[in-house]
Formats: sequence, C-alpha cells, structure tokens
Amino acid sequence: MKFSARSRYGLRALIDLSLNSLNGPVTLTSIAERQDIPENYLEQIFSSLRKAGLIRSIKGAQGGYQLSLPAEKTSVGDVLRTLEGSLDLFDENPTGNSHIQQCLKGLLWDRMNRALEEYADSQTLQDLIDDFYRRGTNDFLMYDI
Amino acid sequence: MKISTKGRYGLEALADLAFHSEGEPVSLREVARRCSLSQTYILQIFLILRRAGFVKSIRGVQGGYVLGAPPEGILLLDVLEALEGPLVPEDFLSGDGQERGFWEGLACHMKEALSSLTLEDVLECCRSLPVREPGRMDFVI
Repeated sequence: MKFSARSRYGLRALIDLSLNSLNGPVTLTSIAERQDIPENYLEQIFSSLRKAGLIRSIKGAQGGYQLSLPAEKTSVGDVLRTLEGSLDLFDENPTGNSHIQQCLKGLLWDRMNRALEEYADSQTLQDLIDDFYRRGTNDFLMYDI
Repeated sequence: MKISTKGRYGLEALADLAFHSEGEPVSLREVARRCSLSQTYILQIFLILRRAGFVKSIRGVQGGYVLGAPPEGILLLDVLEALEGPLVPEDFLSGDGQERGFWEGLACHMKEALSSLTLEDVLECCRSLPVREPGRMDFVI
C-alpha cells in the first residue's frame, strides 16, 4: 500500500508548527530545518494546506505560519485529504462488475476505506502531539527549551 | 493511501481460482480470460501467490493451480500484504518522525477491521448472488 511522502512530512510539519507557534508565527525555514524537510517541498505542502484553510500565513517582519484552528480542532483526516487529494484506495474506480469484483468491493475495499477514514477523522493534531509526548524520547524538546 | 493494480487484480484472480477450482487444477489461461487480464500479468501475480503459499502449481497435462490452503484459512489481509507489502510502509513505522504514532495507530486500526475476513467470505458472497444468464460469447467455440 502506498502513502505519499506529502502526508508524512505534512503531519510532521504541522506538529512542529503547533508546538512552536505558542509565541507567534513560525517561519517555514525554521520548520524545514528542524524537521529536515527540503524547503521547496515544504512550501508546496504548506501552499496546499493554506488553500484548504488549515493554516494561515501572517505577513510582516515577525511573519510566518499559524494553525487556523487549535490543534485539538485540526482533523488529521482533513490534512490527509488535502495532501493526498482524497482518501480513496484506488486512483480510478474499478470498472468491472463481476460477482467477485462486487463481493471484494463490499467485503474488503469499502471496509478498508471506511476504516481509513474513520481512523483519520477520529484523530486530531493534538492527539498526535499527546502521543508524541507519551513516548518520552524526544530530543526535539530538549533543543527547544 | 493507494492500492495498486497488483493488489486489486491479484485478489480477484485468487478468488476466481478458488471459485472455479473445487479441488481441480485451473489453468492460468482460464483465470486470465475470466479476469480480462494478460497471461503474463497473471503469471507474475501467481508467482507471488505461490511463494506465499496461497496457491500450489500442479504439473502435467491436466495441470494448473489449486489453492494452497482451505479458503477459510486464507486471510484477505495476508494476501493483500503479500501482493502490496505492509498496509503502512515500514519506513513510516520505523522512522523517528513525530507523527509516527499516527501510522502505528492507523495500521493497527485497519488490521483490526480486516482481521477476520477470509477468502471463504468472498466465495460465500459470490454463491449468494444470482447466477447470470451466460452471454452469447460463452457459446462461441
């Protein structure tokens, strides 16, 4: 099964953004550096997230990015849909209509799709951050405090 | 998250074999024809399925493929992972990215949703659907 790197880096960057924006907007460059994500790649990701209204950019000398909503109201499902285009399992809809295809769709593919959406929609950015803290081992925090 | 054609067609081909085999070997040519896939492609898929033990090849004039285990013992999730690799890519789970917990949770949730599904469920579903009138093509020799 394939996930794109956009989702992976997008979620990682949003966690970083959320943790570091307590004192104001965060620059894209600083996130790219901390998370070791190529800056122009992160620009593309943030451009999609901004258009979708999940983050907003603040202009000016102290400018940068902020989450549009608090982390506990930012749905991971929305982030993934924005970055992946959709959460559908197939690029194109299966065309065939044999019994086997019908049964696989009902039993397996639809169920997988539901499970994916259910889980992604049940998680917020804050859940990911809490989970990250629970793990304990994070040199990231040591750097910042 | 995307499923490739290999995963989709591989499961269709395996279900087709199971549905038509009834213990007798089925030729790849027949599976390819019924699934509208090329024989070369089906062969690639069956190599993977054979290595993973889901099908066995029987040599000889009446040779072909049979299931490698009873259909109720073949988990769809296992077949899918044999064809596609793990539900969530391994490097997503092994990295030290701060979002790693999400991928672990997702893999766990999806495995749970699919854990009890076997090939027998697909066969049962197929048997429950009304038999279609054979198309005219079926009579062409």
